[in-house]
Amino acid sequence: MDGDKPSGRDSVDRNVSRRTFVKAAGGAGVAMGLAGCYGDGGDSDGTTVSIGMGTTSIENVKEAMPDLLHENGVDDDITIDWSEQNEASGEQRDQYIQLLQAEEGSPDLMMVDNGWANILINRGMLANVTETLSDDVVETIESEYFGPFSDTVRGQDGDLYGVPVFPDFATMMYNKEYAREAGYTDEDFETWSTEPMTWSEWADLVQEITEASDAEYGFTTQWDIYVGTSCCTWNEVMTSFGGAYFGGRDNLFGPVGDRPVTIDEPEFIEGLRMMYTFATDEEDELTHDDYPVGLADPDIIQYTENSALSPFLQGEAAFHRNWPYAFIEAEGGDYEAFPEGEGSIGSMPIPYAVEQGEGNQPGTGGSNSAQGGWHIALNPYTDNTDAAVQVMEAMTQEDFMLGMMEAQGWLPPKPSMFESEAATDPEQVGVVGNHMDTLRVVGQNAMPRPSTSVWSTQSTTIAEQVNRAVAGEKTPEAAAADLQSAIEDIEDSA
Amino acid sequence: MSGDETGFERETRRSGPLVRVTRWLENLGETTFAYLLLIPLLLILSAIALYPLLRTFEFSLFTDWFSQGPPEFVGIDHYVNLFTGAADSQLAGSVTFLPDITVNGEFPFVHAAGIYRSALVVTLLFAFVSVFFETIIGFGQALILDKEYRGRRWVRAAIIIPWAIPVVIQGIIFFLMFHPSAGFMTDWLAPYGIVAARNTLNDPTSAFLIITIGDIWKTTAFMALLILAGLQSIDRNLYDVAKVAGATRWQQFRYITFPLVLPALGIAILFRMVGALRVYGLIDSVSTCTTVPSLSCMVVETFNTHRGLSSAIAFVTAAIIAIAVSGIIYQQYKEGSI
Repeated sequence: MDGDKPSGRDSVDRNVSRRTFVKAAGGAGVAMGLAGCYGDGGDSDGTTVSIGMGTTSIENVKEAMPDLLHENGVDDDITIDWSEQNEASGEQRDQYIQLLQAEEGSPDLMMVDNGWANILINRGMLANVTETLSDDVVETIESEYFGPFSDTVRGQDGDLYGVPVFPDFATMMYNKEYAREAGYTDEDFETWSTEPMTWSEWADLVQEITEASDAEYGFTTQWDIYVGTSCCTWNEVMTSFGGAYFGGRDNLFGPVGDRPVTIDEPEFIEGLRMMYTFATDEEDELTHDDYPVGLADPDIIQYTENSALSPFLQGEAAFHRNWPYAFIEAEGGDYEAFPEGEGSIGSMPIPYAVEQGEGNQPGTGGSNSAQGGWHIALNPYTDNTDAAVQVMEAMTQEDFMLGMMEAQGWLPPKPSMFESEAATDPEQVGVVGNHMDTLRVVGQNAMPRPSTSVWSTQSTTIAEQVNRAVAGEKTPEAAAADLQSAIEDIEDSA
Repeated sequence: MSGDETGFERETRRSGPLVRVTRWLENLGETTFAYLLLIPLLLILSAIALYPLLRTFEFSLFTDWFSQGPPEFVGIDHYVNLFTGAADSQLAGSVTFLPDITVNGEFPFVHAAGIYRSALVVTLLFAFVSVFFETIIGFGQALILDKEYRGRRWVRAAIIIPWAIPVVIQGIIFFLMFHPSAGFMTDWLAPYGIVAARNTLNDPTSAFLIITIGDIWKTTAFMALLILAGLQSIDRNLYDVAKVAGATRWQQFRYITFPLVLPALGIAILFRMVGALRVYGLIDSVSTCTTVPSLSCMVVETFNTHRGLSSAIAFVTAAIIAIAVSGIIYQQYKEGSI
């Protein structure tokens, strides 16, 4: 056989004999084997507690949080460490699911979004903290915390599977200087802070302020194809028009497949039509007669939270819808439009179209904010349960809450604190203290986001259709009809 | 005494197990020895490629292997649902697996709608378009790099730089170029109708174009390097003979360069086709899987919600890659390249 004959080239090129090769391969194998035997995956220190959190969030809290935890009861020999997770909430959930399915013991604690905490709870992936925390702490959470917010980390057995850390409520922010240029005063700002306007009143106000100021646009918000649109911005508009995805507030958490889908409804289409009108340049057959055109930055259809915040911070937009972290970002001294310490950012509840309780779907109508916020959950596979529980319990201390409010704008999960002297004093808690009146009103009208096993699929579908409608790529009627059918299919397939 | 010891040691060296193995190795034929050396590689490949592939197929026959409770065996339901459209509701947004195909009397009789919503069509379209342009441009770059001229090393570095950039960084570059907050390209291209003036990165056609161009920009260098390796292995004497025989430049290319570089070209296309059929990172960093749905995107999007379906899509993707690779290898075999 030709192949078995050494060719001339092979003979010349074979500088290493087979004997040498066998020796070398054997030696390398032994060396690698030894390396494998002696290799160590790292030794864990029993007094280090790792907290899983988004990378940017870690950057923001890593200075303040460890000190606050130690000042509020965590032993000094316990070191706080960080486990970097994807900043995007949905990606973070997926990372946790994979870690917990692999029964990884790290991170010991995980920050979990209230929008998907119950997905992990229903899969049995989180430790029951009602059984783990001290009775006093559990009693405090049960009796003093925001009930609806705590419910988003509760299992079907009624027990808690995490400690509520901070709720988040969206507000409509505005540039006070621009409003002053239109003739408005502090007295008006005080009224606006607690008394919600209708969308029509608000739109007229925005138009007036935009025309009187240097603002290029009336407002910015998030309307990209992502969960932030379906869970929050569109959910708020739809609810304020009396609409709901699943027949009202009671069906937000299921039962999947046995609840009505109420998307192809007049209130849903009306809300979409209003948003299209705000985002388009000129009137056409799709615009809503009750609202002015061109109020919004036309690029909102590609904005997420941060990209929507940017034009507001640059002074290009007069109004902006966002979470409380934006107060700190705006008044951090980095932006000319919001000089540090001058309180030049105002806030008001999200406007509404129909009065509360008068919506077509039960429990809808009125000003409302999507319920945001995060809990801290205990990894059931951790080897550091005692230390991790100390950290969780420290997070229930009011001084910790005030400290994080100042450092990061995290709102306290206790409603009573919203009226406390400490939490409303900007000197003590920073700029968020200026907005506690608004946040209290908004917190009373928070709308939990739908949270079921199929929500992640549904949320993308909803975001895509409402984005296309507001971009003018399809009519609100067509978007609602297509969405109705798509969401019904998902419900039926579950 | 000592003579006996020496004789014993020699006997031991000649008949020990190591000696026997070495002798056996020395007596093996070249082909057999080559296969023997390949065994560890085949074992490793089996462990890291074949086993996961078979496990993926196994997962695809169940509802959700990792959920609480025992997984429910559903046979080939996921595959049937994929190809009948029943699984479309579980994919991201309005994405479908296959396009809407209708057959009627109007020319060309078979009509496909929603091709940019179909994960299968988008994947194949992306792979063929990007690999086609990468091959053409890469060939041109390789021909330039194959010449001797001043500053060749700088040209080579310039061509390779895009390939060295991590895919996410490259994705962010293209994302920013077209994002309304920071970008400038939309304003330049939209007036000519090349991309949508609004919602550019959420527009399926525009986003597909941007991602395809991004991939061509990045990966053409890879093609160029592989083709260059083929070009440099061509015996230069052949060109001298051709010149003496009066061959034009085109004839030199047609009858010397192209046939001799074809094996390297085939390998380059093979590698790129495999990579292009698995595209995910660029899509995720420039746009979204809802806007530009690739098969890998659908695997990732359904991984934590419908793991059985996700496994079925992954297996179908692997099968498509296997078919494409087999086609290229068969073509090379026919041409005698392998």
